[in-house]
Amino acid sequence: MKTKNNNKLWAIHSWVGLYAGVVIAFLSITGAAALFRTELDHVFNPHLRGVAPGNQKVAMTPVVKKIQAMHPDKVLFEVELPQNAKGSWNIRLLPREQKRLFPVFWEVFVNPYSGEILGERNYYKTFNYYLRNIHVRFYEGFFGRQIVGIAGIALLISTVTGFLIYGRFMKKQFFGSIRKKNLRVSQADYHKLIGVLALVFNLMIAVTGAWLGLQGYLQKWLDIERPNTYKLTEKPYTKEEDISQTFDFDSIYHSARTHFPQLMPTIIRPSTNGDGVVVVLGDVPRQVYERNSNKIVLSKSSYQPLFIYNISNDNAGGKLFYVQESLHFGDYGGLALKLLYCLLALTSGFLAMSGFIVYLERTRKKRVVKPNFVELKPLLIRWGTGIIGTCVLIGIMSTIWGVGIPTLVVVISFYTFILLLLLKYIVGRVKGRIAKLKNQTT
Amino acid sequence: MSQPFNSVKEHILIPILLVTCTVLFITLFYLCYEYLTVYTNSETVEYYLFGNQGGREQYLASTLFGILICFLLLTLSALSIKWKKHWLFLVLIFFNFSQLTYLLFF
Repeated sequence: MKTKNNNKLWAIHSWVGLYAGVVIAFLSITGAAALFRTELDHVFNPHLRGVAPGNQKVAMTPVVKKIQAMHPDKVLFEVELPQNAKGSWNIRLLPREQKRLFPVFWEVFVNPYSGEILGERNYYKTFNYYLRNIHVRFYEGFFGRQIVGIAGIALLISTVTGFLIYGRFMKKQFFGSIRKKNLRVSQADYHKLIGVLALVFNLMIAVTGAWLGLQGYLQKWLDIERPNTYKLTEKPYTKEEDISQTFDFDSIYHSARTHFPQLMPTIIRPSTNGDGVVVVLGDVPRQVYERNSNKIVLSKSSYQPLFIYNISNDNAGGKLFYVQESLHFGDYGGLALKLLYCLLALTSGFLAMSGFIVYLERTRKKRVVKPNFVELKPLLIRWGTGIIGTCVLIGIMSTIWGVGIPTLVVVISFYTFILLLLLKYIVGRVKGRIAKLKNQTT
Repeated sequence: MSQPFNSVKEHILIPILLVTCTVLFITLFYLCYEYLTVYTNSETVEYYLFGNQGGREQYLASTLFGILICFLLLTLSALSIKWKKHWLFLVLIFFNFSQLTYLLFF
């Protein structure tokens, strides 16, 4: 009975690994890179992100007004504040009319000590955005995020079943021993060792990844609202009135600091939907929760607080909600923790690859007689080049044209590929049925 | 002399110990980051409300103590995998869990 269950678990483990392995490997590589997207943005754009610290910062409101006047076709979305004295202000604007194929999320970088504009760019054309989007939805515009979520479930199943059959496959082998009998055996030993070493990390990535990927639908189905949501039953203003209502950014900042002293403000976002408020988002020190999720909502006219949300004061459900993203992206322990995360993140890619090698070597005798047989090395080179080539190609398109064109290309290629696979399967089935009928008649 | 094979040790206790070690290792990195932030970054420290921890110095001391405990437990865990003592595995799994529970909830 125990052996039968183990066989079932092994079948599930290898089936999931075989079909979801490529996606898991892809997400492992892109995830490891996405960890450093903010740091890389600072490295690649020091002229936008870095300033020489001064004694006194200029008033923010006239700077924002100047930028708004320079972009009459856009509406102010938010101002991102730096986390240290060497950072610049990032003033973000959205176009009044968004183009579907060439969307814009405009960023203007300003020196907070002189008010000088350091540069402007469309966020959707940045390497930073590319790293996030390739991992979070691989530029698939419709269900990309959900497909990534399903890959998270596949990783979860693979990790759990792998652990459950670990003992059976180790037999009388000591922990950490690697046999060098042949490629299949040594890869299998590395697969088991790395799998156990990174077990809890992969479980955590799988659970949080599945939640983050399927969050939109899960929140709808389970009727879960973001815990920091502030809602007004009646809008006191029209949208246009709200957008044109002026306020002093510095007074808003100081009011937020007074009423919520632990909050390190990172974003000041005025409402544009008629609420007549300014939302100040930020982080509270020592919290291991999602960035920019603590919140204070202030009145645009009186600067008085209307709503304060500190994750530490929420119940377990709220804390669980906000711990998912930070645990997944490891942004609560500085660069050193991100490097550790990077190393651990690559283990799922290694496990997918070593599992694939073990499968190919195990089935070699069966496959070698087939006309489409390919040796292991060229096969791995083909898959590796395919994954890296796809990433590079999407990256080039994304930095040249923004998010629209690569999304279109990915959507057309992905669904054509799925359609071709489906057609191949149907044709194969029909051919098989015809051959069977012919055999029966003869 | 090589030790006799023990499946409970090799297939259950070592993986469980490694699970606790991974979490402890991540916690160690987090504590070091917290310590360095409070120790060096005065811009950020102004937002810290140390509350019942009695101020910056006490917070630094308690964080340093946490770092040392984590480091000690991780070192012992690594050695226990080499020594393969049954009782040591159990003791360390207990202490690792206790340390993590303490850091999470207190």
